Amino acid sequence: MDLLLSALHGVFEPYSLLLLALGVLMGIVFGAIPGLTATMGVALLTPLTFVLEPAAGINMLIGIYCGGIFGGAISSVLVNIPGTPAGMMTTLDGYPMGQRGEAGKAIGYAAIASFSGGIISAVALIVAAPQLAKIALQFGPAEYFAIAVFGLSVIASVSGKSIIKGLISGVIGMIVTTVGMDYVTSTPRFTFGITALLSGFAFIPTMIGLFGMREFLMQIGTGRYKYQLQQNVGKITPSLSEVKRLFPVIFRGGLIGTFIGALPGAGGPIASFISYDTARRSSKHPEKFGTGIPDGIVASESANNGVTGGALIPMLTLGVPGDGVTAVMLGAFMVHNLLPGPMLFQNNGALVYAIYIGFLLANIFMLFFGLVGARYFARILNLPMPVLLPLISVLTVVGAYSIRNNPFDIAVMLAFGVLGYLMSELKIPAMPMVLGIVLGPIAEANLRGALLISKGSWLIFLKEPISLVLLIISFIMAAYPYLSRTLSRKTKLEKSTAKA
Amino acid sequence: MNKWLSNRDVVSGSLLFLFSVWFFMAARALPAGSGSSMPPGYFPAFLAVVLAFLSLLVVFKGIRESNTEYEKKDHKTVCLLVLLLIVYIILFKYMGFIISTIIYLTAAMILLKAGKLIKIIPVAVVIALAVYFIFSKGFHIPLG
Repeated sequence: MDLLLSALHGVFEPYSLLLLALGVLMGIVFGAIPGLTATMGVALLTPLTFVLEPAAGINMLIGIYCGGIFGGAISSVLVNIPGTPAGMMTTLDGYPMGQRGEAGKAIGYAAIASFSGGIISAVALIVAAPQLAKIALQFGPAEYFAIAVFGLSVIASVSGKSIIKGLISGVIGMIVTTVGMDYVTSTPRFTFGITALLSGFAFIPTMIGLFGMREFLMQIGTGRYKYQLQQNVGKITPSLSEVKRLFPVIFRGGLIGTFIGALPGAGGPIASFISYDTARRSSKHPEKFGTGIPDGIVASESANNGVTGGALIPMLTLGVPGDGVTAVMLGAFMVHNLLPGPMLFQNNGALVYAIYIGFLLANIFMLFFGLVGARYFARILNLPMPVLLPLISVLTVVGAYSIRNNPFDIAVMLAFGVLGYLMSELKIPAMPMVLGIVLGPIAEANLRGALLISKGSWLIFLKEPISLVLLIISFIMAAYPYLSRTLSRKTKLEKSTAKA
Repeated sequence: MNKWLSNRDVVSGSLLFLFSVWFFMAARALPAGSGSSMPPGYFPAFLAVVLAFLSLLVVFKGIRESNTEYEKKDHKTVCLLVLLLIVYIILFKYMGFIISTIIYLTAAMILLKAGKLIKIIPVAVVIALAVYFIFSKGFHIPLG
């Protein structure tokens, strides 16, 4: 109770509240502008949290996270480009609705759905996180290794078209983390005599490179920043009876989002896709989806904001991020020497409460700004991108530098940005690489730890029940795309032979 | 042969395979260390084997289905911007934040056709000063 009170006291301090509101606003701006993503916003501002109190800094990032995912809907509606990848499905119904002159209404629905999804996920976070943390307290190296393997196996099932390329991205991420001094034997690994590499590639510059610089280069390369905005927002008045009718869709979307978010590596784009698909299939008028009906907007938006709280669950309790944004957020914990995981709940209870409260408040701010400020946010889209993009690139440089005041970190940031760009040219996704970077050290350290305990016997991973179950699930997850493909091929074959 | 060279999967898969072979050798060359723990080269070597296997799969897939479509991109501008950024980092190290940022922003905005020079330079100066003051005064982050 004392912890809760002190957390409340901290969050409701005017300065913290202002930072949180500012975070939500900045998030909406980053989300709304195509090419600037929620992840980029969090990556660019993580270095700043160094000078703030941990709770205030992390809550500001959570504000950017929630606001950014919602903000994506604004440009989905107004210019048919998702402002943030998670807003992809919102364009399907948001843009046609906007074309009918109901852009304001569409954004209003998005705001209400995003808020509801966020709150549903917040409840899940507050209920599930402490329980999971309690269980995780008993985890040893074998279990942690199994969790890392599980997280990596999710890559296979979420990599979409090319599972192989997703896995390659993940392995490259893990290879990146082997650079630096080996913490067990103090042997320098792959440092090529460069002293600055002894501590490995610094995490935050790497993330700024992969999410800030890469996105900047991609915008330049595709020329996608040269879009045209040509419409008015109009009134923001979603009718209450409509919202009531949509409640089941919103509620289901929030639950889907929370669940997908809690899976390591699967984030907003997948959640909103599944939610949209489910809503269409269970609708009485599936043919109306895609013509500009609110059902499509709220299905997508409730799910992608549902991801936010869901993704925080494994991140806070296990140190395993649920999506890209929470992966970057780990950096904010690192600069304060905090380690997310079950011990965070033991030693920093007040911080955990502050995050819960901040998360709820961020969603309330988001609803308020979304309903009141939509017409002003539309003007953000008029900002000249040829000025804005260079400014973003300066911020990536400043962000990378400010961690240790070391120009070498800027070079690391740029190198990862270019690497990410080259990977996108080869259709290799970046997200698995980030997961690899986070999970690589966890996998290696706990593999070694477990083998040390078992005196070299690999059977330890099969003897511990939790580790065994997780490894079996991982195996099924990794094999599932192949299995389902061969199965569907077989049924097709049977059908065609039956016809013949 | 020419057809393969223009197939991005075949080229990148081959390069990745070469990289993983090199990485495997480098990992095996690491000293074994002492004690009963796993030697430091073991895990990287394992990753190298996995990567080698996956990159071969990419090559074979690339040969089999060679009709993957790629979005046309403005590679020239991207390369020029990366060069600009490298120059920026070097200038940043030796000339400090404000001057190097003004030079970089001006050049980048010219490259992206942001407008006339008379408009661009004041914008660059204002942005550089604003970022400098926000970071160094507002957040106490020293910028060179």
